[in-house]
Amino acid sequence: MIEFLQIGLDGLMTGVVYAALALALGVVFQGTGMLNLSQGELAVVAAYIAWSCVQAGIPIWPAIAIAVVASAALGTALYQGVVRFVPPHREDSLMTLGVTLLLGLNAIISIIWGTDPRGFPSPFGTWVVHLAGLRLTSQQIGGVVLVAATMLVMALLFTRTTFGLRLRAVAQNPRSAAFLGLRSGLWLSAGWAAACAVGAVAGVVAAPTLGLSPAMMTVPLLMALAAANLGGIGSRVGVVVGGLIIGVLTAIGGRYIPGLGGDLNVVFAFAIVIAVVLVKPAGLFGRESVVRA
Amino acid sequence: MSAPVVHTEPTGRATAPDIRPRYRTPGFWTAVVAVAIAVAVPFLVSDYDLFNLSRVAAVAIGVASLNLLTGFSGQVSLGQGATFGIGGYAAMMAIRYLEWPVWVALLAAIAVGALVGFVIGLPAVRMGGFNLGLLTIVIAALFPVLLYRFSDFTGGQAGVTLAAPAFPSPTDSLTDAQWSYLVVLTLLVLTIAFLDQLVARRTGRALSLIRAGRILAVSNGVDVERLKLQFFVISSVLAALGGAIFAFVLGLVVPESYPLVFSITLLVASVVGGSRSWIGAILGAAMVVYLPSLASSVIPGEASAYLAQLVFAVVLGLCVIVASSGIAGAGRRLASSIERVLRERRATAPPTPPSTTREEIR
Repeated sequence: MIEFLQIGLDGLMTGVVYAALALALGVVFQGTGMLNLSQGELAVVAAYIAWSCVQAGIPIWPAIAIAVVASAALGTALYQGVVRFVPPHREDSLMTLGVTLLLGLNAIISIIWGTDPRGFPSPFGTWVVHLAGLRLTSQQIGGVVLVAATMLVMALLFTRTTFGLRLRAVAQNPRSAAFLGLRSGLWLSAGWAAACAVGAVAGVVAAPTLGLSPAMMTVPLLMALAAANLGGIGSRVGVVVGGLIIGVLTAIGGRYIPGLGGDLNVVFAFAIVIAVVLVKPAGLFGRESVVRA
Repeated sequence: MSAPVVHTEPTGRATAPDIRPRYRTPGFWTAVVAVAIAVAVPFLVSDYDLFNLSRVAAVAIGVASLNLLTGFSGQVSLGQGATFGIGGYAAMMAIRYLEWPVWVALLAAIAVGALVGFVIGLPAVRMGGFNLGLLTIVIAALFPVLLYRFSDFTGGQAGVTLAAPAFPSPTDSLTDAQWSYLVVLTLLVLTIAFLDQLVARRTGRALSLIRAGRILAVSNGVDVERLKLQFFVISSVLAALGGAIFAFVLGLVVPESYPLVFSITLLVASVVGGSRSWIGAILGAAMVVYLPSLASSVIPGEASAYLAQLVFAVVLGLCVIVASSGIAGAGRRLASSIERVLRERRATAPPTPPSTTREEIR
């Protein structure tokens, strides 16, 4: 029983990374209608920026702050430089564009930093807490706290500020928002910036455990895609809950279902998604969209 | 395809191929000349160049299969590289472990491709856009992982190798490389001729109807899901065939050849070459084969592969944003605008249809 709880808890700790990435996917999707397949690579860029800052002698926390700000700037640049030229109703083009960014960012990362895995220092120290037979590392606790804090900030930003209100207005109804004098391009790039900042936190939290390499976020991205589908990509609460569920269930499934484990957990994650989507096509928290023929 | 183009197609000149016999279209003669040159090539260049050209032809079959899916059936698959790899593994393992002859192994690859296409296609035809992309990207990402996982069976890192060339030359007057190139070229020409017939006929017109509007297609008696499934299976079969030929040309299959990036590269080749053109498929495949070696002449070492990847990404981005019909489409547009200028010189010519309409027909 203790083992079961421990695995579930570890899964929850991994799940926060999926949740953060899925939130980034969701924010971009709601705004631009694009499934940003390069979100994982963007998180890797953030982790490498933080690593480079640490190598240059900057302490770890300022380095992380620099990485988050730089990622937000990169997100804005990508929106303004590339994404805004593709109209939101062309699903196939947007999808191809997501692949393009994935390919391009992966190449740039590999050229600048090389493909050898590197160690990433944990910003949370190396202590361990024992609680009722369960074991938690500082990295796990710190990661959860950092991601939870980021999500709280995002939730407050989206629901309690005019900034968030305007972001949501542009995402939900671009034309009405334009009539109200909001420049949609500006606000969509702000949405990209927010998403990339959240993704950056995910990258920095994941890097110490996964080891820093260009392919670091491939599996977490697939998990986040599963999470977004599971929770319903139109719902910000849904994607986060989806990420946590995927984290816990794949950890438990990987341990107790024979033949699973490692990267194959992705198969299990998508099996869960398919099972749920058959019953609720829009995901657990998503709203069905009705189209008039 | 933008909306106006799609709407002109069914009402416009959908019957044009019947009015103008195929042997009188410029495309047909271009193809004849291209094949004639391609047949002459093995006697002019070195065996190493022939090896590369054989790779281009094999990859071109894979890209053409993806063209059928993206350009004609309107489904973007990110997993075609995995199907390509499955075909390669099926053929190589049939030779290695079952000791089947090469041609039977090719048939085995085709059968496995059909099976894979059917299994993936059943859910895929009900999806479009993002969900299909999601399904196929997961398949593409998992394929190499599975190869490592079942390494007792697949040979793991070392893969499966051929003991002897797959297409040994039957005569002394041709080297193995020359013979192998000619065989692969023949298979490519057959594939393209088959695809060209497939999309020109009734099924092709039904597909344009589906792209114009699903409801329109259904009300005209087109069984949309069945047709899309058929095309998905055909596309997978051809991808597996291309993969098997590619494996035979190389003489080995290793998991390293089929990462997620390879599947994406096939999509790049399809979009950049022009996803509604068979010549585009060959151009795209040539880019996939030659760009990495061009890049390695610019920067030596490991970075060159990533430089090539970066170029792919930039070119793909440009195609998505600026020229959605790829190199072949741009060439065709140029040709038709020249034709229009010539026709306007002849004064009282009727207004030419928009250039893209021609593209729709052939």
